[in-house]
Amino acid sequence: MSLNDLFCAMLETSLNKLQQFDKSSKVQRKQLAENIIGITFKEFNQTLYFVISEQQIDVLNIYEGHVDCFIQLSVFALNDLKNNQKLTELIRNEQLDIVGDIQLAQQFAQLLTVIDIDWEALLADKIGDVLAHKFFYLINKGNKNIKNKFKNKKNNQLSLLLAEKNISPAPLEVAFFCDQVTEIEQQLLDLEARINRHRH
Amino acid sequence: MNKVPESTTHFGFKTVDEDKKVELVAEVFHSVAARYDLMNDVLSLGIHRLWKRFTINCSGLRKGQKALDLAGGTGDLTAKFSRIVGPSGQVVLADINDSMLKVGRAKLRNAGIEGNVEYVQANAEELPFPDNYFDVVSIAFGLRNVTDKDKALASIYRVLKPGGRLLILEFSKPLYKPVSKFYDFYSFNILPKLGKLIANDSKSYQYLAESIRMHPDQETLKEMMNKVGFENTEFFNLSAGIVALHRGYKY
Repeated sequence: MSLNDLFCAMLETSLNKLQQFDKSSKVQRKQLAENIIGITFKEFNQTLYFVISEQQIDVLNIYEGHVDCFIQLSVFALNDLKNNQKLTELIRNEQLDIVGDIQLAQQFAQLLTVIDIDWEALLADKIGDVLAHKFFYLINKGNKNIKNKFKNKKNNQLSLLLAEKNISPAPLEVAFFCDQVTEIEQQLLDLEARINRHRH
Repeated sequence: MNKVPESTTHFGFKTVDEDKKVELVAEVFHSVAARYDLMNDVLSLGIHRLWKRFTINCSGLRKGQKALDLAGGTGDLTAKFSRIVGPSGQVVLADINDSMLKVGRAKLRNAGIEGNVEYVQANAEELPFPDNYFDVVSIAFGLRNVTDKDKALASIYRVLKPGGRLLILEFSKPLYKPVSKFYDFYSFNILPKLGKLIANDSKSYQYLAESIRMHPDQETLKEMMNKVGFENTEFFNLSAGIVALHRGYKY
């Protein structure tokens, strides 16, 4: 018994807890049921086997039988796996290696990464609709406030640099300067052409 | 005139007639069946889940195979076995105690596990299955309650296919003295009290502690397995030897 067992147990429990919250995941699991998918994450150098059934996903760290699909990838590429366009890029960059059905791998990536949980409804079951709504309303409001504050701060700093302290040039000044540079560049080219003409 | 019993065996620290032990063990499990899972979690602080997970990893079970979860109780191993073998495989949950079997069946059916699981009330000493039938036989925390362990091991050997394996997860002898001291204190002082508190039954948990002490240690059990014909037998000490997983193959 090693830390691997503990890690697998924790991964399995948290994965299935999240899956329970997402109602659509059961349908996806049903499509994938009876498949066993092996994944080696390059970062950990450890193969995990995911046994998918209608009821849940089981995570094993040893499986001696035949797997339906074997994937070798980096943890960061998991999210891109479900995207058809990126597959060849991942394979070319040696971030991904698949033995078996690619479609199966993609469906599995979809199952793991797209989890649609209605947290407000879940909280409403525990503390009631009104409180849950109020709670999420406050959180959203707080979130918006923080975003606004950041936006304002950015604007303030910008005007400080441009107008008040005059450290940085205004956009029009930059454009004018760029035009001047282009003009001089053109003049320089003309001059160079003239010199060349006189030489010959 | 009273019939004189031919032989005796131990029931915890007590010595009882051999034919009485089954009844006595049955009583213990009838009494604890309803709260069995909760008690396992509390008494082992949830670690029994890791022990069982390790057992599954060592089982080598594959899709389409047949497994027997002997003394399967409330079906923790059966649930996982059933998902691994899939609809083309078969899992048999066998227990000698019908209360435990009922709790296990209700629990598994509620979890949506059906189709490839069968429930059989059976005595490990005389398994009602054909020869060479199962790919894997597991017995988790059950062997110490069996009256005639050699007979049970021989019976398991018979039902295993050639190439099949037996997994015995059972309490064993702690490897280190300090662990042993703490473990003794825990088993004889805390465990029965917790049993009283949660399952309202301190006697059954007193029996649990005593039966663990009477169970053969790692090496002895390994020898017993070798004697009935198992090969490549090995054991893994878990949690400093408080529990050991024995694995043997039939070739």
